[in-house]
Amino acid sequence: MTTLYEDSLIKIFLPSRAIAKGHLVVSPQRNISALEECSDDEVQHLFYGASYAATALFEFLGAHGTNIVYTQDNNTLELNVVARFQDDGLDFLWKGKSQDPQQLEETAKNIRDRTDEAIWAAQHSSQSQDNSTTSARSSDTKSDPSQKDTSQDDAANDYRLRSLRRIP
Amino acid sequence: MVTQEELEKMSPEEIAELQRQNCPFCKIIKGEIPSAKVYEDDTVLAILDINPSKKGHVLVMPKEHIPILPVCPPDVFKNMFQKARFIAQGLKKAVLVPKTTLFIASGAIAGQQAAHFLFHLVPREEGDGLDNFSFTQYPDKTAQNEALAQPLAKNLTLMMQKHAQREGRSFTHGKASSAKTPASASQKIQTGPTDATNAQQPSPQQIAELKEKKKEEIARILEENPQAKQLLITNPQAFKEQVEANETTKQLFAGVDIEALAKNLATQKKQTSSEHQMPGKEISREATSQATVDNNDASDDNSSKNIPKAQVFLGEDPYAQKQKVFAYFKEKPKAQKLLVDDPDSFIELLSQRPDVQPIFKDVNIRKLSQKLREAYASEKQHAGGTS
Repeated sequence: MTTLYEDSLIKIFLPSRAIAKGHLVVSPQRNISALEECSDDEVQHLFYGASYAATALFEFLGAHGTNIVYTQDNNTLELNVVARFQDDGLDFLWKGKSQDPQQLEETAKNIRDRTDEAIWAAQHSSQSQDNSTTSARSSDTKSDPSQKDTSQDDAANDYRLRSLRRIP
Repeated sequence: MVTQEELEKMSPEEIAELQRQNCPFCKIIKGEIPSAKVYEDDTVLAILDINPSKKGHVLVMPKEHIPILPVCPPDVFKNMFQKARFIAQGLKKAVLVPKTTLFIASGAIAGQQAAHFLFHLVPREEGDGLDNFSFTQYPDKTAQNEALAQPLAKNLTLMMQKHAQREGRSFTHGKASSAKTPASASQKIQTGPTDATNAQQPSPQQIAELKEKKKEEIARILEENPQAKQLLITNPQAFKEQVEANETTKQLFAGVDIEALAKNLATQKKQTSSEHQMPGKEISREATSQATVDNNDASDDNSSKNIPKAQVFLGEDPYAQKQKVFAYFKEKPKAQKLLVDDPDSFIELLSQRPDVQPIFKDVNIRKLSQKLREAYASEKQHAGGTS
């Protein structure tokens, strides 16, 4: 396995079985199996690495396109960055099936709820870590009403601040 | 409809504008086309694909019209991928699948279908027929790939180091990098002249060393800020004025012949553009990423088209400066309101408040005020558009 780049968070290397001339793998240093287990820092650095790897393939190989694919095979977190050329024999695309709009909306609502849960759980677990309690939602809000208030203020300011941060 | 001829005559900005207007995803984001939304926040939108590979196929995209990943601004980039984890988690729980596949296509040949960046989250399970994603079916091209190791390693290391510089932090803490890290790579820029002012009677050797250091720093700063470099080359007079206006840059450039520097850079530029592609493209990529971020600027008091737009945060570390300003505004929303509504009063009040002045020391206040106003205006538009 030839390592091309390594730092404290990620490593970029050539895969042991490449499927194209111009196939790199970006993977975290930590031995984690799923994207969900990445920290904020890791996930953004991972994708920055993948983005720069794709750019390197574009510029150095003159690739006509690149694909970044993460398939969660073998319980390893690997982002495959593959250079694409005309008639290279690779095809990652799928056949689309049309869906009934009502079904779509139902599925969407389902996923929406679960996603919000996941986000909430993550935010909350970091808060409860600060308070050094391991109890569930209700006890947290009861024991720290003051913290809840400031977090609401933060949320209101955050909305504006986030738009400000987009300014150079 | 626009004809082929008209397209060829258009400038890149006009084409980008046309793209934006016709972009189906921008219309979905604005709410002009209905969609099944899965997640939404200020910068990211996730919806269900109406032509999915299977139930629960999610498309995640930035709300801004960003055509490709390299030009995506950092905060949008980070937010998008940080949220991707949660969307994938929610997706797995909702549709009850063990895995998801994340797929990004850049370029038509790779399967990119619209000029609006997005990535796919596809729910996956055993026997789902989405075998195209399984790599084992494709022939082994490892030998050809290995030949690229050296040059790719070099280029990648360069890019990641520049990234670390831009982010203002080091990623090599606690792990030795395989390629050699040049000493200057992950350090923050320090102003040389402070050393000079502290020394009592510098020896001629020290003077020469300091001069070298200064040259290096100036070169580094100019590389980091391609607009400054551009301004220096095209209009040294305006550059001089900007330098004089700012204490830190004034110190930095003290004793430097700006006209000569400009001439040098101009000839250097001609040379490097004819040399090999890699660094030139890197700089232009930086320039484009800066340019897209400055896109909404109205150009200042400069009449010539070549003068790049003035930055809001001048000074040696614009990133840290920006952080300070925003931290201050977070604590004092009234101050922010005043800045937006009445920048002149803000400037007046600021002159009476020496305790607050250091925060705004290297900030172009009028520009900041203008940018904030524009941001609010577009926020209102967004809020009005989405349901």
